[in-house]
Amino acid sequence: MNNYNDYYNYFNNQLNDMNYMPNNYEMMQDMNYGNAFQNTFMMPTAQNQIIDSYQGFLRGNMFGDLYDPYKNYQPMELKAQTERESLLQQVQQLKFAMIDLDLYLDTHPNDREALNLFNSYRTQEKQLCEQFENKFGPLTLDSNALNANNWVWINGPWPWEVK
Amino acid sequence: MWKYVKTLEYPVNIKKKDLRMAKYMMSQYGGANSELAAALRYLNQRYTMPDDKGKALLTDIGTEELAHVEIISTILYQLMKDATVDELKQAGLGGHYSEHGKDIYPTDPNGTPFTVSYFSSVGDPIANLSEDMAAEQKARSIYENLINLTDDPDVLGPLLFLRQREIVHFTRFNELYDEYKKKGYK
Repeated sequence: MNNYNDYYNYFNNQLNDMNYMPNNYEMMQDMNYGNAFQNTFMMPTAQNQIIDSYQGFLRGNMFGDLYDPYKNYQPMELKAQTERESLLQQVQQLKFAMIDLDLYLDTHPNDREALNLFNSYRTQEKQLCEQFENKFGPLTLDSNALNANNWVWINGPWPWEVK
Repeated sequence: MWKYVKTLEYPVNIKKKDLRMAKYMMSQYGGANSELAAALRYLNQRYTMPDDKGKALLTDIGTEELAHVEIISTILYQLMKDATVDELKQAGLGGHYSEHGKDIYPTDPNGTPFTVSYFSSVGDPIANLSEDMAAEQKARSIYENLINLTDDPDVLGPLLFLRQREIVHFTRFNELYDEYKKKGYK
């Protein structure tokens, strides 16, 4: 193909920002115009400091430099009282890591570091989830824990019940 | 489509009933800046986002907001479940009780029912994202008010978590907004 623009247009991928070039006037107006052509060929690595999933979960924020505490409040400690609670908390922790990284990746889809981290959490989450479900029953309707003698999906506790 | 996962995003185990706090918490269940408003706002705006990033981000944040609706419902349910009718009356929830018994229902703390007028989708991605950012800031601010209204650690935990999520959501919407401005999506 001689017209590479058509090639990129056809695939409608993010790699070609040429479709979205602002006009020259705008370029000059934009004081920061060095950044106007944020070229996604250069895979930006996570400039954000991504913290461990336990701390991230307690805080509600996997990104250290984004964390904004309220007054003097420290994140609450989560003390699991039973084995079920403890295993479930680990599942929740990993699910949360995935969620927060998912939102980051939606706006930074070419960040390889973050992507690898997401997938590593995803793998861990799958394992933990299976461990939990083997002992305590299904978390979703896709679970192998549904291979039981009766329809265990209906069994409590349901998420809103006090443990 | 939506799948259900039989867990909350963050644990809620409230041991002490608190009817007055339940009334205040209704703000985030059926109020103008509630999680319900947020979920419906983003899930409605996602269809006309100009690129994949926008469609993904609004879908994913909208989905997380549904999980937050569930957390608020749980907080309401747990705060009220052991109350006597008298206690409900004392806390100003007599009206709620007559309409709903001990059921939860999306209203604000004054009993005004939830309405979709609380959010917009105006057909312009810059306008929509501006609303989304404002919504996140308002919700954050309300969580701070709610945090100021209690000292029960079982309630503070989820509130601090939810407040932090608003800050993260704001950041992501802001990133998308900046990119869309640069790309000329006015």
